[in-house]
Amino acid sequence: MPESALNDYIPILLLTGFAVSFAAFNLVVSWLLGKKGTSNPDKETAFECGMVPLTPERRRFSVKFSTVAMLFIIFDIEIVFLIPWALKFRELGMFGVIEILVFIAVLMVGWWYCVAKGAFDWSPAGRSRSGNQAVRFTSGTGTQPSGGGALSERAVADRVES
Amino acid sequence: MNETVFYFATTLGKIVVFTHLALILAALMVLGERRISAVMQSRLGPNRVGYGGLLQPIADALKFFFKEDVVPGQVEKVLYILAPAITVIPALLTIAVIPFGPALTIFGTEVPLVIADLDIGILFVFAIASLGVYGVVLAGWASNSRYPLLGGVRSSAQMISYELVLGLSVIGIFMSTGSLRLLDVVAAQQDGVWFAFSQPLGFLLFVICAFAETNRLPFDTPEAETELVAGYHTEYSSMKFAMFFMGEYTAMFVFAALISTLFLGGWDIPFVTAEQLAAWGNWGSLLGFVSFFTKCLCFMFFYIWVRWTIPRFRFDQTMALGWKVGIPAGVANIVATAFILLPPGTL
Repeated sequence: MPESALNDYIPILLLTGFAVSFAAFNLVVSWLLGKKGTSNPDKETAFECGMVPLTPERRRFSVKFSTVAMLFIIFDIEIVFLIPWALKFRELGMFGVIEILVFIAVLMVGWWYCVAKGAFDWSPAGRSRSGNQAVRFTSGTGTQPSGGGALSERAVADRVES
Repeated sequence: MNETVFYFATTLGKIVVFTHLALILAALMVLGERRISAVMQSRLGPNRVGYGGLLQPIADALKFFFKEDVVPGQVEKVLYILAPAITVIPALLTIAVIPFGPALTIFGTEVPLVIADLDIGILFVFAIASLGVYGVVLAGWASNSRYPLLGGVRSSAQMISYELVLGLSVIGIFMSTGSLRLLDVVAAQQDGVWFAFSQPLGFLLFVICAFAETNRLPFDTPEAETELVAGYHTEYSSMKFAMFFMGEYTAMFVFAALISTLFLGGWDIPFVTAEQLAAWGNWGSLLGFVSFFTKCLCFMFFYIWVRWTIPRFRFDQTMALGWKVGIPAGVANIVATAFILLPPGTL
């Protein structure tokens, strides 16, 4: 076997093959063995607790989900920067600790800003404890999505609040 | 015997044994969950198939295979079919770097009981485990239905939030070991104390994240029955439905194994040193293997215990715990570890 840094990953490749074929096996076998039922209108519609769906299914959802996704990317990269430091922690000694304290301080300022802005407040306006309702992330002055339901009710509440 | 042939034979053997172990354990966990839940609620649970219901998972699997595979009309076919596969595959892949026991000696060659001894170890687990989010999101999106969509976006927000805390909680360990390789982490604990004792805050955060990442109670808002029917797998039936469960329970096993490895000493047996274990040869390996699995099983019981102890959090509470408590606590753990581990003279 030729020496290569990637040799460590040969088992991963084999395991991937195994995992993919396991998943494919399940899908194919259940397709082959499964009962072939007849089609009817009720089976074709989306599950709605027995009601006939009135509105399109793919409604808008709270913008907070994308805010969280963006914040995740930023913070995750910061954490990736911490790992090499952690591995070389003993060699770097006090110098490394001071450096990382500065880094963490900057990180936590960003974190504190997000908290103060209410980026992590998911509860309806009245129930939040942060007491900083006026500057919530979602309460822009732009038009809100027009769909009904709990999420846009929350959006309306936010707008009223601001 | 040719060295390359031997290498491939042992690797394939390890893959087959460990993945089957994980899948069987996942199946038994489903049964265990039903039986233990039943005991906690003063009822019997499934006890008819096989001795004490032991064959129930097999009966369930057969039934799933023969069920009609209903694909509703509104779904996006390709993604809808791919989503359960995308949930199962990463769960199985993460088993690769988990050390199951001390090295076995076969025909005079040492074979470590880990499928791939990667030097990035735990990073590989995080990278692959986060792919599991895609399965959930795609299931929610492709179902093109109300409850799955809500469950899918909730689940993704929750899983990525707790991934941050997960990442922060283990950095203290790497500061002590200076290595990401899981075999080194176990070796460090055999020489010293278990990281559960030297890193109590990191341990607590990691356990909380294990619950949140696997969507277990008290963090199971993505599939909260009372509000979202079944969350992202509402529109799934037959084996596709079962595959989500397989993925989820395998992920639970992986987290139990990670906690055993990172914080509970891996295969380390209390009061037995690594040299003593090595002196027993392959029997020592077997003992280590048993020790490792005992820890995993204890933690898996803990999963079920917590499920019937703590009620479900609201979604805003889940997110607040992750972002407002988890992140500062993780950072505080790193800073505290830094000052404790620094040699006294350098301050």
